[in-house]
Amino acid sequence: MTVCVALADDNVLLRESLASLLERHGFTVVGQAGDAAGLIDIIREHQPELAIVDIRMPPGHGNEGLEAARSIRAEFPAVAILVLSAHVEVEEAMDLIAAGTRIGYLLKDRVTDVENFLATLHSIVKGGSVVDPTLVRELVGAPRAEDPLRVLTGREREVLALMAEGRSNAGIARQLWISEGTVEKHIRSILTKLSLPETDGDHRRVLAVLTFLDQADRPTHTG
Amino acid sequence: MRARTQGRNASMPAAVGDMFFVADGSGSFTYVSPPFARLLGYPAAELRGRNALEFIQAYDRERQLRAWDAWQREPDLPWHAESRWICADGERILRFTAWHEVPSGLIYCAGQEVTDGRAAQERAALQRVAALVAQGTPPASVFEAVTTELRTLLSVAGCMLGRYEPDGSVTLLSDSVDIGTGLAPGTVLRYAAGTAGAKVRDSAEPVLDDDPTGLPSPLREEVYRLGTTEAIKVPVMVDGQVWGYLAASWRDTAPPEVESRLARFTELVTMAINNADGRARLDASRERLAEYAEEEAALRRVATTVAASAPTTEVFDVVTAELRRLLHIESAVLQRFEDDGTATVVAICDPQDLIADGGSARSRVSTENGNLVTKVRRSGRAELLGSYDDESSLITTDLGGAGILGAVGVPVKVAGRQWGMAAVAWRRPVTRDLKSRLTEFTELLSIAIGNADSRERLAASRLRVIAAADQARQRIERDLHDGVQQRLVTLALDLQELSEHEVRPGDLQRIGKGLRTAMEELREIASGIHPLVLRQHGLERALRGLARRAKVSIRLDLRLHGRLPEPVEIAGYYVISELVTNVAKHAGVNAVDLEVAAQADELSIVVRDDGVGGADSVNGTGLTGLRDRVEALGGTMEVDSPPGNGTSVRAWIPWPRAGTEPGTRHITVGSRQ
Repeated sequence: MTVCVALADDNVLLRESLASLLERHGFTVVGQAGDAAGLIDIIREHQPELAIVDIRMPPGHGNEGLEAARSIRAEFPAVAILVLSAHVEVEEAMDLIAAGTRIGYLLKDRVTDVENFLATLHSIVKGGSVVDPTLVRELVGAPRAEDPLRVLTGREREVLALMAEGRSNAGIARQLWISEGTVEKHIRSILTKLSLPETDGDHRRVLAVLTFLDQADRPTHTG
Repeated sequence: MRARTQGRNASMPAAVGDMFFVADGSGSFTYVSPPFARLLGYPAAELRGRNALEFIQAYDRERQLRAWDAWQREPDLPWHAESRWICADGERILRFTAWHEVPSGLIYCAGQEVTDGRAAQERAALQRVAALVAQGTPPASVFEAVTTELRTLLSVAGCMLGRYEPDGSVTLLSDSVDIGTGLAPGTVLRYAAGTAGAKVRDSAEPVLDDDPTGLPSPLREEVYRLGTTEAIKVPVMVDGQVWGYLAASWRDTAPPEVESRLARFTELVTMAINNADGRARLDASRERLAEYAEEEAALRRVATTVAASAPTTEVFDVVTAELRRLLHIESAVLQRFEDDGTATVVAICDPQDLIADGGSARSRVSTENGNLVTKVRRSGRAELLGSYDDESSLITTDLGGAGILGAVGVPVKVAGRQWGMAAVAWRRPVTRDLKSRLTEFTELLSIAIGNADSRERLAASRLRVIAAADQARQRIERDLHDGVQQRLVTLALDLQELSEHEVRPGDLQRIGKGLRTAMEELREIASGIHPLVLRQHGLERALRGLARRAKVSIRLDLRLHGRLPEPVEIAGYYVISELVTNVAKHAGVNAVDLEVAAQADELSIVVRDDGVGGADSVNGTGLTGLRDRVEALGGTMEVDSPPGNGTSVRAWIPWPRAGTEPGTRHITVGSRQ
């Protein structure tokens, strides 16, 4: 079954390449737009399953893509959204993930790693949430005077990072060459050590882990 | 520290200064900052629980209590008070601003010492009048100058000079008031017997006048018009006789020490009269007059050198030469404090080579404990080595050689900051007022020093800003050419090769990987030039990102609440990121404290580590470039980095108040929890 996609990017060359890549791999591109308004028109008309949107578009070349994602989420909650950006920021990721499931937030470069990119698209269409590994590396690797992650083993850190990226247990198992049972054991240990709640579904897990890592950077003020 | 941060509110200035205390509703100290405790001369712990009023001079206490009562009626407003404090080493004048903290009922007071500042102001006013007298200015003009200077100096409503006539009436010679023009010279006043105006002549003593109904017309009407409540009249003596009086009047509260300060001016009036009458003679006040006039001339020579845009070295040379001449001592030296705790000799005037060993100009002075420059820097006030007149106390100062009886160093403050030290040394006995004369004169000179210094630093900083921009462009060019471009060329060659041969498995993946690496490098370079998040989301988010990517752990304390004008955000980010990089490179620690707060109209930044210290703007580490950046926006930056004792850098970057500058952005975004 083919997935219908709407694309928005003001760089025509890149947009066409992306469309062609998607068409070659069984997606149906129902429309392309150069700005947020055009994208929302396409979605209204075709009700695609997925929207891929560049974060930086006219008129302001700021974060119009984020605004567009919020509007789409509000008006068409069923549409999965992938936001692409030339660089990624933790806070933007948090905002997006907090807005609900079926959200992805990736560096634009990731489209060149075709296999992973396509897997990501399918994952978010199925209800997952995906965050760029660069961000997760930044969050897990941040220097902290009191690092809450020091209680984890090296392997558990790796598993935590992949959880934060939005990988499923099966995905984590594949990546680390271990069995799914072992992954589950690691995850239980991590959740206990960090006092994180057991969650069902990859999305809530991503949100919980990201929130935990982000909070670790915010000492509480006493003043 | 806790009390200090908790008490801050929107109306409190960014830099509360070091003099700080918290008191409860009855005036008992609950917190005393270490510098304030030192000034009072007691350990901070001992002061807690004692009442602030205990430390206020008895004659000032009543006035403070009345003002306190008035403040209780308008508790929302800050109270600005100037009062005389009894300190272990004598009386000091402090200017405080106090705030109520509503929920706790506590009172927060932040202030500064103004003892020296006021003495210097008075000295300057006396000098101006003395110069007029010395130049033979007609008495009428001198009298006018006296009343005007006095009224401004004392911040009173009116000042008046009157002359007693043989028939007992008073001829008004000059009247200066703060509202309107005052009574015309020549106005005749007839005081009734027993009133203050008559008592001054009979007793030759100062008399306080608190009964306006007894005043002669038209003075009475004038007093009603001005709303003054009290006045003091001080006799002016000529040839041992009461010649006239000098009077000051005020509303509600008398200025401190009004009587003695008036008396100092009466001497000048006496001089002017004697001069005019051709009866000038050598006496004590004649000497005083010469001293004032000399100081005035010395100051004028320094000011002229500054105004002529002379190089700073020349200005500093003139300063030391004038110090030496004015104080009649052998040698004078001017030293500038450096961030790392050392000092640089910027000028030295020592014709007899008395202190030649002490270092030629531009040399660095070490900072062992106990040497003069270290003592002055630490205490922030004048320090004496050796003695004024005792030959048994021959010393070897860090100012140099043997045979020196004593030396005095006084701090030079520029724009409220400790800039350096002026010091003099002597081999023959000197008078004991040398320290106070040097203090007063240095205070006046500091303006000229500040002007000369800031002009030179501005010119140097312009050059450095240009050089820094050039260097940054070169670095970007190098990163692009050596990194990304090389990689792309290699990949293009690889592709070329592939087109000529059969494609092997893995070739395309290799080229794809190379391209992705090039993209990553490009992203890094772009983010180094200007982080996008700063423009899109502001300083707070940019700093959180910085903290995650830094090589050291940053303990963040951010109080930003929304967007700031763009130039401030950019400069703030740049300065902080450089300082954090410095800590990672030089401090030898892996954690740094970062406090960033948006005040009413400035951004305040504190970056503090407990590493090796010894950071120094002169020897690099990029601090000079950062200071340039901050000062280019009208801000200030202070570095405190004693060797072995950590480094703390504070910067304040101001912005124009909202609405005054078109184009600045004041966007408020919701604060995240």
